[in-house]
Amino acid sequence: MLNITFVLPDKNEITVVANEGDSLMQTAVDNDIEQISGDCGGCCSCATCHCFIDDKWKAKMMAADDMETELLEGAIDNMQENSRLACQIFLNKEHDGLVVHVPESSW
Amino acid sequence: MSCIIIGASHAGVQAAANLRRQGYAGKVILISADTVLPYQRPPLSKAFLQNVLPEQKLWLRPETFYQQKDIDLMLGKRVTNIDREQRTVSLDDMQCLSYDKLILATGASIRRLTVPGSDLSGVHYLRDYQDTMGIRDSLKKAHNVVVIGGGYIGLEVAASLQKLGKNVTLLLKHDRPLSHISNNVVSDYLTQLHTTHGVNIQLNVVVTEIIGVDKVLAVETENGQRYPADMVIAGIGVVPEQQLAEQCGLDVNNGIRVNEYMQTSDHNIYAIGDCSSFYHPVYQKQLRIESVQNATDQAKTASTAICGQFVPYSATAWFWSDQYDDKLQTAGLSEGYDEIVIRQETEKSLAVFYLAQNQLIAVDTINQPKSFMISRKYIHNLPKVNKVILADKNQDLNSAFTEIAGV
Repeated sequence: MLNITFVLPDKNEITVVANEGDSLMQTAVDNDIEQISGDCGGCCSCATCHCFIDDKWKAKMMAADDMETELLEGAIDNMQENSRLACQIFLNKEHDGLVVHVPESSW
Repeated sequence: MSCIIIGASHAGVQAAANLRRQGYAGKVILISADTVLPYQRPPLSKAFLQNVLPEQKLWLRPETFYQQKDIDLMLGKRVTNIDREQRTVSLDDMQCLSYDKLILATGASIRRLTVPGSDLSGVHYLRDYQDTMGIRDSLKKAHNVVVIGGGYIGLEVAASLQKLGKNVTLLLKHDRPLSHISNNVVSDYLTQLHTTHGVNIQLNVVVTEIIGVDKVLAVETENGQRYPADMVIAGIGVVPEQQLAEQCGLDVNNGIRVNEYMQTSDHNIYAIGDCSSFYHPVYQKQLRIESVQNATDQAKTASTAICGQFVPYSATAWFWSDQYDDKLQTAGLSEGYDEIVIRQETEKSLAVFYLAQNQLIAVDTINQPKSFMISRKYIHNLPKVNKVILADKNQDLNSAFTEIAGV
């Protein structure tokens, strides 16, 4: 069991419990974080799960692959270095305590 | 106060979740004919069929979600009747439930084969969880599989079975796959893709008989060919599930007719997702769309209206399909196009833009997700575009929408 904190657009923080092996998108959807809708179910097709990984956690993240990067570049006007698609981040022990900033949905 | 939702797939579950998000204070009752937790449909023909997606990841929400949100999820129940005067629905277990608002999210049912032999054991369809489980079970003893139909389901099933090492024949009635929705360029790419992966794809063939004794043995086509088959999977389309609506006198015509807020001809009853027929204000035509996007977005429109905010539905349609390692994404609706522009980045990466009177109405992309995303952002009002930039892989696609000089 891992603790994951979502910082919502209004700066409210919600800390939820996640399962190892689940994606960050699934964790958000299961806990009704409404800005992360994950419409395609996590197959990297829609970019409705865009989020920002807190800078302190950068080193613990696998880099985005080409498909994810292209989707992000196309979808997000103000893409930042820490922009990610939550469906492509699979949680492991290393991620206990992860902090994720959730923007307003672009869709 | 209570809202009953009939059907717990993408549309129904989204509607229930949204009612709670928006503070709906009454009872929310979500009725499903399926006996398992509400699940995602797209993986049924892909990862879940290939047995690489665990069941727990197929569920749309965990079981606890419904409890936490005070959503009364009734599994394994069928609604048999709607009484609009009394505002009640009857279930097959004789229960009768009252509603103030009713949402029909009844989806669609598979179109079945009608040729001789269609009722033989070993003939399968793919629409729900049980279908995929049945196919997975039968696959254990099957090597030769004939897939009938060149839409998304036929193509995805063919790709999945080929990945599983089966000997797959794909029979298409038309001269190319996705013939109703895509241009030749996309169809030809897909034909080549499946051929390269070893699928025996046959175009322009009409199935005349499923041959077998008790169990399927082969599929025969009009030209006399016989294709050996240990099992047959037909993906030949769906019809909207509108029987309940019809019985209670709502307007139906290839779907349950709704207004811009997803209200049927009875304003206390809404219809969303695959079963709803609506007028799209941007495309200016009556539509019924079978997609996850349409299901979830219409659910939001309906639940928002039930909570007192009436916002007309005008979402951009989008679709996706994964076959082998290739990703097909579509934004908009291409019907009625009079011109295409192609943006080819590599042999395996292309975008086909569909225009009607110089306005962009749709795009299909194959392994070009960035172009899909950029187009999806701009396409909502069918913009005029700079065709030279569209076609030029060395220029930023965004500028095709912002610099339209020379159109």
